[in-house]
Amino acid sequence: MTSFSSRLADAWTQFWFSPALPLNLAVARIVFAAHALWMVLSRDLAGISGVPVEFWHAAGPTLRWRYLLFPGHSGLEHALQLLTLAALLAAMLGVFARASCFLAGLLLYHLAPLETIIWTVSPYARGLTISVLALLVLAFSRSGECLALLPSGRRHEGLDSDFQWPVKLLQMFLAQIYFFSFYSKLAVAGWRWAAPRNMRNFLLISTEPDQVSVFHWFGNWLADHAILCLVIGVGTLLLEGTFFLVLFSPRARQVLVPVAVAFHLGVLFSMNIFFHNTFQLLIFVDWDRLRRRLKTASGSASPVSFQPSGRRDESTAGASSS
Amino acid sequence: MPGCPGPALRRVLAAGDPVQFPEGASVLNLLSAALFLGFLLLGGAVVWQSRPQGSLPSKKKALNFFLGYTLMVSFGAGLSQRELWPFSRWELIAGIVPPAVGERFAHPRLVALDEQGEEHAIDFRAYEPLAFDELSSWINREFPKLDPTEKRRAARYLLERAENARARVRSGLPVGTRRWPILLSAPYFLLHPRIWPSPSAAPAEPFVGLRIYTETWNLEERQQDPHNLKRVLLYQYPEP
Repeated sequence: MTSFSSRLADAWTQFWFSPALPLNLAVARIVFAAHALWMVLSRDLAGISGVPVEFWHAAGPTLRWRYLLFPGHSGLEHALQLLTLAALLAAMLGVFARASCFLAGLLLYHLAPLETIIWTVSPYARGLTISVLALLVLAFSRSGECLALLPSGRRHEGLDSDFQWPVKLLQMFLAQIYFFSFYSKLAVAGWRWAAPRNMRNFLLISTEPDQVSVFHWFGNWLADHAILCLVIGVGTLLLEGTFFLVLFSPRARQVLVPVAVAFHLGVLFSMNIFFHNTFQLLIFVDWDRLRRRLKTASGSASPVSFQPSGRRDESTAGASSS
Repeated sequence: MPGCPGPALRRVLAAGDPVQFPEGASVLNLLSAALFLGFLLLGGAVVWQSRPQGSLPSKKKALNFFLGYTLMVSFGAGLSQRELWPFSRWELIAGIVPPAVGERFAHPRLVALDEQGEEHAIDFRAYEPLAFDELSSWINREFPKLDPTEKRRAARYLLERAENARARVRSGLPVGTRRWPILLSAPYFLLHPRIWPSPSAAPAEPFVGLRIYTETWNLEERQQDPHNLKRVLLYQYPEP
């Protein structure tokens, strides 16, 4: 038992606290801040505070106090939305990065629920769910020491486990999307979720209502082929059920991340569903390794460099190494 | 004629869990808020213990607590399938789609009326800041619960939004939240076509009324004939 618990502790330490360089964490900061900036610029969340109170019928007292959202304060919400944009821009550019991330994360926790508050408490799948958690994790970590106009904290001195755990946690949040999506399918529908008939019905219900569908042809074509429907169903479960491997295996990342991107493109053109978190998959790229490979290819650096673990580089494709 | 949106699809996407009340219950709201507060506090502890004067063992302990807590809460939400936003259960496209879009999954359709009583489809951008899919779900779930006065006020607001958007498009002005090229703005979770892409595409006559229909159909039958659906008038403003 002691041996097992010590192996578990070692595995925990290895997973979360292997030494890493700061570049990946800095890129993660830029990715999440830029993505959230794009989302907020594409919505008028603050304006929802100004819709007639009849639309707030479903938002009870505990919901309102949970998010501090009350109707009739669109002026205040617009000011907060502007502040959020400023914080996200600062986070992206690395100006007081950690404080900006913290402010942006808190403000998004307040603003994001506005999108759905008229009928449900949770705005998941609207593009800002992971952003709230990610920005706060970035605030709690040393995310402002690299790729920053005003680097924060002490200057990084090479490898440090402080740059590993936040990246792993952000990757975990993204991996959870796929795993829980897989889990919920089995929990609700069982394996018959993947049946060709169900896939066909999904495709039809996504393309028939013409006010909700932009793309028609691809979904209808897929729906007419039972074998393709079966492939879609089984393939979806396979992708979602195995995606968590990207947390542990560089090879899995090299395969599953591009497959996930292709999957989301396929879903977009066949089912008219836009998955906002696709862009956040960029954090699964090992940018540090990529930088070293580019430097090596340009002849400006020694071909031999050190992996975050301290071992000599064994140079494969640019998937995250830790 | 342009048709109906995503509430039926959204309900199926929510795996046949159409009533959000379990998630909206007071206890769950309070629990979610408390769990998020815990996340903030433990994250703050990490920051505090990471200061230069802090000790390495304390920092490690704070980090382990924070990571363990975050994993526990996030996996708790996902495995229990309870929405504890921002710790989400990520229930996506998890249901079994029935062959008929029936009363449980009826699609609302909003149309505007001109002076002659002719119906016109409304571009989804007209409703912004309300997203069309959220509005549709609201119509399905909340609109029937409003009293007559509230229904009139809500319908009047929607009519005003539709007319304002129509007039803007006719004048060549942008409409909706996304005032820049479509590729630069984030779409909604479900895509919607812009049925007023140019001034001439928007109706010339002002809107003076609004109708809300609900539509049901059989998936196979509608694939053969897109117009094969049943439509029922839910509400009209002004009331006849």
